[in-house]
Amino acid sequence: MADLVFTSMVDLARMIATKEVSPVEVTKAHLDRIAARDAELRAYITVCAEAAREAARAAEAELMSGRPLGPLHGVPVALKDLVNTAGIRTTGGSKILGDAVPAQDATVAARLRAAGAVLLGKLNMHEFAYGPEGLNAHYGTSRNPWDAATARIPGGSSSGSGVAVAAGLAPGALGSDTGGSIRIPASLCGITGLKPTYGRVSRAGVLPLSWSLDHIGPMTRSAADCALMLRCLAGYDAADPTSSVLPTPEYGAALTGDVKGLRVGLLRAFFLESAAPEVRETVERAARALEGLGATVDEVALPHMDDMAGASSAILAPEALAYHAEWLRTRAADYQPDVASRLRMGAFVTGVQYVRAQQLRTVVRDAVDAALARRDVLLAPSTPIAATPVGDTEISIGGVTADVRASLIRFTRPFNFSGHPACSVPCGLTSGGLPIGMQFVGRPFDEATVLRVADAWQRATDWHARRPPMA
Amino acid sequence: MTDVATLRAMARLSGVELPDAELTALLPVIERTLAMLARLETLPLTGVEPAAQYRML
Repeated sequence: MADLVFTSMVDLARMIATKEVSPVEVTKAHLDRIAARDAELRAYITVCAEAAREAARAAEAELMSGRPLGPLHGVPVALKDLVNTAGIRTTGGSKILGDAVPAQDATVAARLRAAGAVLLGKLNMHEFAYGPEGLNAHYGTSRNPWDAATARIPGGSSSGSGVAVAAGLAPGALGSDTGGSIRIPASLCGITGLKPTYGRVSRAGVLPLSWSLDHIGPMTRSAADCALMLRCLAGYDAADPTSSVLPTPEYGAALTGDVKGLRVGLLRAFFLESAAPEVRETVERAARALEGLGATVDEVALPHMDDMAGASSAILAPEALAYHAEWLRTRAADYQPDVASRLRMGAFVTGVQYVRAQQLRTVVRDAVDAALARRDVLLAPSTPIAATPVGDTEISIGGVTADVRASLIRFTRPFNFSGHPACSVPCGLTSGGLPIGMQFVGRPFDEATVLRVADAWQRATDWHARRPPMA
Repeated sequence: MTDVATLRAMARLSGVELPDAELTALLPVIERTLAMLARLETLPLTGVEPAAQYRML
């Protein structure tokens, strides 16, 4: 049963419901693997072993009693450690909240429990979600499992989520995405990560980084598993003032495996043209493969992409500082240095600049909508580069020296700014054996089409099924 | 060009106290950021409603 830890969530749910395997057995397999591997991988900040065993036993008893089961009955999950969990510490990857134990579950945690999921534990992350590398000075940086010889960044900020799912330490996890924090670790760890539309999944009870840019979403090993998790997570929540009242479809039903006639807009300017050559060629090959599956592909450009760095910072930095101001005054030394520096940058953005950025947001949102008016999805690399060694701050992209941090968020950030749904899927490996990811971007609240094309891609390829060397 | 005194005043307005040595060290990063932010002032945004809250649906 060693493969239980690499079985999909869809299959685990089915196998549990048909009593082919017990929730206790599935949970034990994951806890055993965490015990064996996590000292090296550092995916978890807190492992809830006893609570998970107890929840699995309860799930088994319910199964035997013949009561109706939730869609994730008995299936283990893990949560990024900024999702509040009643009675379980929620650190935000920080020293400051190292002993903070919430009284209530976040809405997303409660919804996963209500769906029958078994919580394995809380996952590592860049401190307070403010960094795309996935660095953590307090709990140790998670190790990217794709390179056994060199310690490489897992990508962040949902670093533990990326590593745990890639290495079989959880079949699915929750991440949060403010500038790419689901899609970047998904890309660098070779898994599938969905940032839903802003408003689709409740943020209530999740530690904020930037209220107007934060998104919560699933990170799994397939689009089908993302669809299963999204089905449990999505929907109106009165506790989140930006939660959408739109109905949520049955995402699994959208996964037809068919992309014939689907219109894909390939983003070359700003995106493909500034990616590392291996990434560019891989995504171009994927676009041709989608054509081979019956999709039509044309090229499209989005305006103002060169303004994204400034405009996103003008929103993110002051919103983050507003949340952290008191701690920054009283406990500055308890932040890791890179996060403290970024937080302080919020002090140098004026109110007018914040409003200008929000004005530009209207323009960019309308431009993405316009690009999608005659297309079903847009396609771009998720990141311009693969995972870099921990500690590297610069990288050569096509002979040009670039900042690692700025490069990691370059392609993901525009869709936090616009709020459109985007899903990163594995699409190849570099010559050094590191994962390359591409993202499908869809119309607002049309996660179903995004997942449909991602799933069709995964039915036609096996990149998502590859296992990292350290797994 | 931005000087340390201006940055100190801006930081204080936001409730952030930073020693001059730290402000001096941050200066190059802040100047790069301010240059990016300055680009926002050059964009044709007259009459555009800010997206204070994204789509309430």
